[in-house]
Amino acid sequence: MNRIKYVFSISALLLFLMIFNTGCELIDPTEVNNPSITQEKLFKDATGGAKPLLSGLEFAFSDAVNRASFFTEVVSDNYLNTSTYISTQLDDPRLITPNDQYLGDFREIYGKLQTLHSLADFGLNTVLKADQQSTNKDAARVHFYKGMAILLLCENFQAFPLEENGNMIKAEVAIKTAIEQFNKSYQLDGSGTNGINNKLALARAYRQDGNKASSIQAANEALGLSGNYVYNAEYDPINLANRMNLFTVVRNQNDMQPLPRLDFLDPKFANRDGSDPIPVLKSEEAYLILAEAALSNGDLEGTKTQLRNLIQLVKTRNVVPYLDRDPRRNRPNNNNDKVKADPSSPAIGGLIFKRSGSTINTYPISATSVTLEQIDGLSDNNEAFRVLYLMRQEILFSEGRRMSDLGIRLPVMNRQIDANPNVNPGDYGTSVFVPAYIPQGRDLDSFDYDTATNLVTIKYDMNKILMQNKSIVSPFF
Amino acid sequence: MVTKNLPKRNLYPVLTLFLIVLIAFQNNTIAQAKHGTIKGTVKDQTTGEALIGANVFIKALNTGAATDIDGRYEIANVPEGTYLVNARFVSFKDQALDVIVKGGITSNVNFTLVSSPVQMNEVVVTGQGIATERRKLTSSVSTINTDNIKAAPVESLDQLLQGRVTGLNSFSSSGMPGTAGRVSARGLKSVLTSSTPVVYVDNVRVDNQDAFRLALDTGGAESSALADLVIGEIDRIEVIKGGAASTLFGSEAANGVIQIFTKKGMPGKTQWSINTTSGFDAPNEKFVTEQFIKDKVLKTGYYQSYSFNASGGEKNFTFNVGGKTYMSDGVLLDNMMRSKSYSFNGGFRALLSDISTLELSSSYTKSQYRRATNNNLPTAPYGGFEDGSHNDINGFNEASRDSILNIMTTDKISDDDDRFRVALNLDITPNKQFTNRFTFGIDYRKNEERDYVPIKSGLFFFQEGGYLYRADREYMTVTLSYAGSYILPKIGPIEQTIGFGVTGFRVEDRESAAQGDKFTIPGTDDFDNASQINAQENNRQLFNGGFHLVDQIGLFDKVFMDLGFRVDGNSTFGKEIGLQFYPKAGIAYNISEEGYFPVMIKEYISTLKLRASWGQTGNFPPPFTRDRTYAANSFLSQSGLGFANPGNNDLKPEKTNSIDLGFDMGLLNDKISLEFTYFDQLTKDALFQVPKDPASGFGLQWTNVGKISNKGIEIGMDAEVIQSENVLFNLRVGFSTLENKVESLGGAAPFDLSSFTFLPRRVEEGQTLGVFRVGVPVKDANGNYTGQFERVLTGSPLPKQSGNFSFNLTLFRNLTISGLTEFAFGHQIVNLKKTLRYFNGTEDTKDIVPENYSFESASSVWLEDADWIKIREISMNYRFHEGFLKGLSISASLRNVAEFGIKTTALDPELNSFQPNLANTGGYGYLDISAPRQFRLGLTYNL
Repeated sequence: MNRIKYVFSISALLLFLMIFNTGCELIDPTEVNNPSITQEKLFKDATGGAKPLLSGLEFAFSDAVNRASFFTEVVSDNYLNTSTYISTQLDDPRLITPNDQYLGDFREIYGKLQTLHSLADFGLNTVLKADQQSTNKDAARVHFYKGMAILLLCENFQAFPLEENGNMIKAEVAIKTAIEQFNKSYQLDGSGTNGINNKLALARAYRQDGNKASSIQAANEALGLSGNYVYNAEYDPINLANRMNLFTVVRNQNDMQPLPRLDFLDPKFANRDGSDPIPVLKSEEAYLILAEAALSNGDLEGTKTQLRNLIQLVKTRNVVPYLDRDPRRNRPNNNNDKVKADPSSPAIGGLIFKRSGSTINTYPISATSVTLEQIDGLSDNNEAFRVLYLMRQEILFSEGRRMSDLGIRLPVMNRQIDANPNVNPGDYGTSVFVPAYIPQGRDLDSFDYDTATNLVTIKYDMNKILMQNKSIVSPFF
Repeated sequence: MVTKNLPKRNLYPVLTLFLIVLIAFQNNTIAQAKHGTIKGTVKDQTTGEALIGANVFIKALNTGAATDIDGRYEIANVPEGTYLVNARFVSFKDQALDVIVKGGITSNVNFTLVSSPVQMNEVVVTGQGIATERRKLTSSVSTINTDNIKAAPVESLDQLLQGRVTGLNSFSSSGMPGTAGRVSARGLKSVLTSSTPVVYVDNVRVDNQDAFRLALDTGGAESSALADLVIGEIDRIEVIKGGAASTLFGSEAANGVIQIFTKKGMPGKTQWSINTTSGFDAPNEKFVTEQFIKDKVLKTGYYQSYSFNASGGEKNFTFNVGGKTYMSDGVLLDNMMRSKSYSFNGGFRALLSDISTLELSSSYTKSQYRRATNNNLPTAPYGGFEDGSHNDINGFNEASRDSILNIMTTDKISDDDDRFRVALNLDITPNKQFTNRFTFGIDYRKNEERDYVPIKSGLFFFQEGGYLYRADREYMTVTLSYAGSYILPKIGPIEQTIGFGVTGFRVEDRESAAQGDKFTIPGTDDFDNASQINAQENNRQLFNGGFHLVDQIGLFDKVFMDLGFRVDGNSTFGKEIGLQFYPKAGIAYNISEEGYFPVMIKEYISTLKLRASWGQTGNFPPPFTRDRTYAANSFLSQSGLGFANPGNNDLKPEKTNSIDLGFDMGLLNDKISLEFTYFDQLTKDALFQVPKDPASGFGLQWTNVGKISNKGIEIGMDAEVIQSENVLFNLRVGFSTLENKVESLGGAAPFDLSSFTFLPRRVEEGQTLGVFRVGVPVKDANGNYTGQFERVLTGSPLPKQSGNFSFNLTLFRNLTISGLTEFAFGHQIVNLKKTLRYFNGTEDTKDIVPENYSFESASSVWLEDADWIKIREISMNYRFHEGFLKGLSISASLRNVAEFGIKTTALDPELNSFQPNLANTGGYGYLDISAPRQFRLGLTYNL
């Protein structure tokens, strides 16, 4: 035992001394290394910085479009939140406040659009300037993303600052900056996709600005460059999955249901892994703009021509079969169901499909229930307006455009009011704007379903209401 | 990234040199004179049993010995003279006898001690800087002693802490294996960091977290570092609940400190102890709604464990080694919750010389847990049915439920943990006045979590083609410290001891995770055959170093004061922040020892100590939050620049100022101990994530702006109700209150605390941390709902009162019966189970939400009172003292016995979802499996 004790003691003491002596190497208090990209690391060698900047902008753009489309689809009449943890206030737009749990989240529409904008600014002011190898093409893309961020802000918000602690800028003023960015981008690189992207974006931005002539010109130029173009926000199942897909396909306790009239379009993005892209700029919109411009000039035939061209284009778009396993709960779910767009409208069949276990077609780019025959039969400008806005609703479905078409504008998120000394509660743009013609409560999404007669009657045909208020609704009227 | 907060390397060579000098002097033994020996026994006066490990010491000589297994002691080399010799043992009153020692003669002195819950002479080490007797403590320190630990039918530290320390809550968060309770002491001081006190084992800092940042999302169940600390090696636990008592721990101790001391053995013949325990876990069906769950999902699981312990040694070298293995099948079908554990531990103490002692303790644990997806994940075998989603009303029947359950069981989730811990302590006492302790130690813990879903089940688990997720966490902390004390010469009635020390610890926390998707060939369950693999890493490092100085002053041996401070540097502080200073001061007055203390009162109040203390402690921010960083977002096979953390050069620790006032009282000749403490804590510079202007692109910035207060009282009573040769009955009661308030947000906007949008827990000024914001339907004058609603802040997720009640009854020295009950009152919980059942249209929930309201606008319907009373443990132990069965004990225990006073609807109000990196307020009850009722029968043979 003594011997054991002796050996143990000596070895332990030696070990202790050894460790204590080396302790200053083993535990060097002066050194911790942050493995993330710190400010210092970012600018240590800035050459080549344009490439990750552009990838980052692409990510931020997809992220922003993802959140914006999901959010505004629920607010609009397109989708109803039937049982999710998402704020139910979104279905009653007048209840939306800057504090809303979803709007108030920096990871949602407002935060993501501002992030895209500030990243583009950081790119233009800092990264590209530091990168000696960056080209005009790089700069052109950054200007495009900056323009898109502002355009999407203008379409969905009344006012917002465009720099940290800056003043609120009204959408009608900010849209000029978006247009400037697209023109600048086109000047720097008018070739290939950047050229078409900017022309389509310009057509959309000029429309928003009410500048009919420039919008028509840009739309025609875009169609001149390509007649069946689509520019998508891309998604990646692991790093950034399509969010609409989560609520309309995966439905992991999250259930969003379309307006019965639009059942045939749901889901638009059927790939379960969430890799489906969301169209942002597509040739269809150029036709929609040209048709709207023609109609505003009283040119019914011109409108019909554009709409016919549009239907021809839509017919060429992808159709993807999809097996929906999830039953519609307490919702129309029968191939024999017919829908009335409102109590006075005719009942139309073929718009609702049985969901559990049957294969249906889905349309990831565009589809419409409007036929060439219907277009041919149009004889009334007002009816043409209703059909035009129905087609906008159907063709741009799930792309986050309908809320803006309805004239609803969101308030900035609460953080914008709290954290910026130049923005105060009550300022223009800090509360939701819902036009008077929007039905009260959750009636935007209301319908009756008579299972005995297989008849669905939607309470309000919003396209009819938009038509009745076209001077407010359309920038061209 | 370089921190310059600390005096660096030059300190270590100085320390080393100091150490060598001390050792060089070690042969400087006490001067030779005529010597005698004192020997004898120490026994329990009531039962006559030998007390093992009792200390017999001569204070005047600063020497002594411990009793061996037969209660015998021997103090040799005692110079001639008359001495007051003390015998001391935990849970007993000291006995002091005058002994005359003559040269060459052995004096026989036998002690018989009387048990008492008043422990004024117990020595406490943690947080004091100097080993201090309780009577000198100016703040409250709780201990859990050997007997309590030995008798507890528990597997983990958090279970051991349940109901045994007044003012410290350790509430179960989940019934899943490997998870640990939400531990917090005296409320919550921080919104953004964990409330778990730091844990030390033999002066070495160990992992205390369950915040595995890249962990699997299996529905709120994470393996906790508290679950794999070895219980069998614990000799004693000291718990300090923050405030002045933990000031000397500086920037890490605002939540308190739990220090574990391990067994090192006692001189004497080697004692072997062999135990085998078997039993079963029965599911707790009290909170289960669906019959299908009772019939098909839950089952009884078997349990078996084997352990051994050997302890002994000689005077100069003692040891304690042990090992344990257990397997528990768990209460879920297919053994989906099976856990296995293997642990080994060793503790050694060697007297290197008359002045130096070396202690080494080490343990290794391997834990293997299987878990199922949990809570509100629709793939969860329990939650997926209990939420009502597969009821007949939703188009399912028994057969389709069976087949879904069958798919659920194909998901293989496992968590393998390896943990190795070592602590080395070298004590050098060159003379009676001067003590020195050098500590070095490491805690290493490695987790490997896997979740494998085979191809055939992929669609069901929302990933076509199946997937494998693997997350690894590797955590290492190294501690190096020195602590010394020096007793200054006595000046009149004034005694003074100075304590001083330096300490440093470093943490390396490395995590990586990968997901492999779309397996193409069935049968493989590693990454090799995945079509797509995506990986990520998250690494952290930190260093904390500091020094302390404390002066303990005694006046007339009745009044004690301590004044001290700690200075800290930490690599998580912002670049503009230098060393942090934490002062403390306290006073204790043993008033009952005063001559003027009335005899009449003394008849009832035999001991009374008044105490008051004030001190500061800190809580450092998470590593790297001070740095401005940019993200590299992986996306479409590229990596893109983005904004990440805005950084903050002024980031500093959250500082808690604490005032403790109280008394320790012995009643009726110290048969009853009563401890009372009032605490008032204010945490300043509380860290909030303050939003930046969204137009900056950056999100939230960690900023020291808030103020949070915690106030309350703690009352602990321990009574020897019956003390006779054949009946011993001991009763303990603990009760504490808590008033928590967010005093100030420092101008920041109120925010949610990881919440559900329809019923968030909020951080709002003037409210309890985590106050619920509910939608309350408005009624008109006639009592009819108007369709309108108000948003109201209400309730508290934190219990306002909590406490415990326990007893030990020993009959005829052979049979011991113990029981432990715990309760928590005055808090609320969101019954998310009810919400989910409502979503799924179950009969019991369909009328809950009034007409014209949504589950959100009428969200007050989901909030329920969360009071509970739980009988945690009942155990029995029978020991054979004689005959051929001598040395054998038989034990039977039942854990998680029963629940009372429950007001929630079919929901265990104690369970709460896990939230990494946030205050564990509780307040959300999902669909978790309650801890099972555990029946155990054990046989222990002591050789």
